[in-house]
Amino acid sequence: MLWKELRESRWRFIIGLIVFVLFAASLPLLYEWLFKEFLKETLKTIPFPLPKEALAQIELMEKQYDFYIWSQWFGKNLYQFSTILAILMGMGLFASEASKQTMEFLLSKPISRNRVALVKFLVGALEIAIIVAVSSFSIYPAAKFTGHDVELSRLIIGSVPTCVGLLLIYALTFFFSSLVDDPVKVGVLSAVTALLLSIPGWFSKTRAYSIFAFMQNKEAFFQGKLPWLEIAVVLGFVLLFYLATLGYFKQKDY
Amino acid sequence: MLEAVIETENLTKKFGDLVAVDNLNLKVPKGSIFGFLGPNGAGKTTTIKMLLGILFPTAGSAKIFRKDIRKDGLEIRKQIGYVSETQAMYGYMSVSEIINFCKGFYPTWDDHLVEKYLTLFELPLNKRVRELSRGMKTKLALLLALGPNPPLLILDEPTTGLDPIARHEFLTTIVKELTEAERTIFFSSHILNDVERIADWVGIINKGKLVKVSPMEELKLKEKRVRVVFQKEIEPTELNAIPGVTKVEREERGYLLTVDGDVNLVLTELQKHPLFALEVIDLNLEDIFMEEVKGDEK
Repeated sequence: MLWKELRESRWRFIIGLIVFVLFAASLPLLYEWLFKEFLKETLKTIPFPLPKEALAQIELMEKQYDFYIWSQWFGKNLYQFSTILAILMGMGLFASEASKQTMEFLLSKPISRNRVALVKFLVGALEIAIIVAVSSFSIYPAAKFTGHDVELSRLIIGSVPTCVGLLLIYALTFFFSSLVDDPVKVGVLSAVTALLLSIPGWFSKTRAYSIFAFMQNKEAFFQGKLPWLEIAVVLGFVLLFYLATLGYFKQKDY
Repeated sequence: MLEAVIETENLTKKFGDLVAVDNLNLKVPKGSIFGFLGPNGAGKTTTIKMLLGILFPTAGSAKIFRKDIRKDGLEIRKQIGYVSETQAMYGYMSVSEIINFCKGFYPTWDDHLVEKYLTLFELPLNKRVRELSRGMKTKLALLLALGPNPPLLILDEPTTGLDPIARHEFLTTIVKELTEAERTIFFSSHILNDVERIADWVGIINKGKLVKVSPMEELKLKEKRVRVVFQKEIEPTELNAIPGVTKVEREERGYLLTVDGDVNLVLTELQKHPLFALEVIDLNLEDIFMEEVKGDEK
């Protein structure tokens, strides 16, 4: 069962890992070129003045390497692209097997539905965690290579809330995959839900309740402390969605 | 009756308003080849899926090897080899990979047996499942079902879609290999010739209801038609009253009676009247099936 799940997800995992590692490692490699050549030249050619906040951000990124790494990786690209990855990893877990009728083949074997669900969930969750961790850690040697320093502990701390937040998106997709027998519909449903979950992040008053603000994890990255309470709450929701999926899957006719 | 391997009690499955299986009471004797007959949509696959725990009954219960299908599904499935109607398998796996995948589920998996069937069925180990023909897939599905050497085989319309040669080969293999091993085979089909060829017990299901269960020989022995022409007109109600007569049809000059029971008793009763003609017609499985299914439609 474990071998089957690893085999079925292997291309998504390998391609995801390569893309994320290349993306993460390219950030330190592009730093010098971005600030010494590209931005200086580009800013001169813009015919209108940029907002003060944008200029301040650019200046801060140029002066503080850590801020550059956080804002370009944990603060933006990682959580956005890995949300898509989590949906891609989870959308076919049950739905593909149901639509291809292989679930009937699987369930006719002496294996409990508990085990089927657990192996499916764990394989995907583990692969997502590996992609996030390895890609984030790849920033460290790339930064060293270009003559900069990033604390490894910051990269670790930055990765944990992103992984936990992604588990929630993945658990949601896992849940939808047990409900709907069409992987495309599951993907759309999960994407719409993720979009709805991003709404609190659009307003400063509700930003603290946004799962994506939690995944960005600015305070933890710079202060070096993990938000244990928030992590526990999000993991609680993950468990809730997992149990809901299990409850439904154990009663479902195939 | 012999010891039952499968035993259902008022087993019912509803899909919304549709009653797919309606209070099914069925006993499949140990060591039998039980042909489960019915037209398309009669409830055969639904029954089988409930036995395997793929579908959950709405009401009633079922036991396999005296174990409850709801509570002991895992233990039960260890003792069952199953060939599904759709034969949906993991197409990306090669034949050897899917054999290894299935092997992992069964402590009783028999490598020697699998080797034997691999040679017999001429299955290419390195070919992917999706590249196999329908006939080869059927053989692979049967091999995977036989691999754990199970005491019970459940085959759901296994010959559907096979050409006559492949069907004949498949059935010959089943009869030859499996009767020797004294397994119980529960075999659903709407192809009556297949069932007649290999089954020693028959159950007929129609519109979710079990309409007939009997050993094949007994069924053929008991179910007859009698053509009778009387010298004097007899009322059909009088014929209906004869024990064993299940149906009376008017023919041009006489009556055609369907008998389910002791035909000699019926003949004795008929001979009490002056007759012009009396003929006993043997029924084959198709006639019996049509009688049960079409009779119900009327």
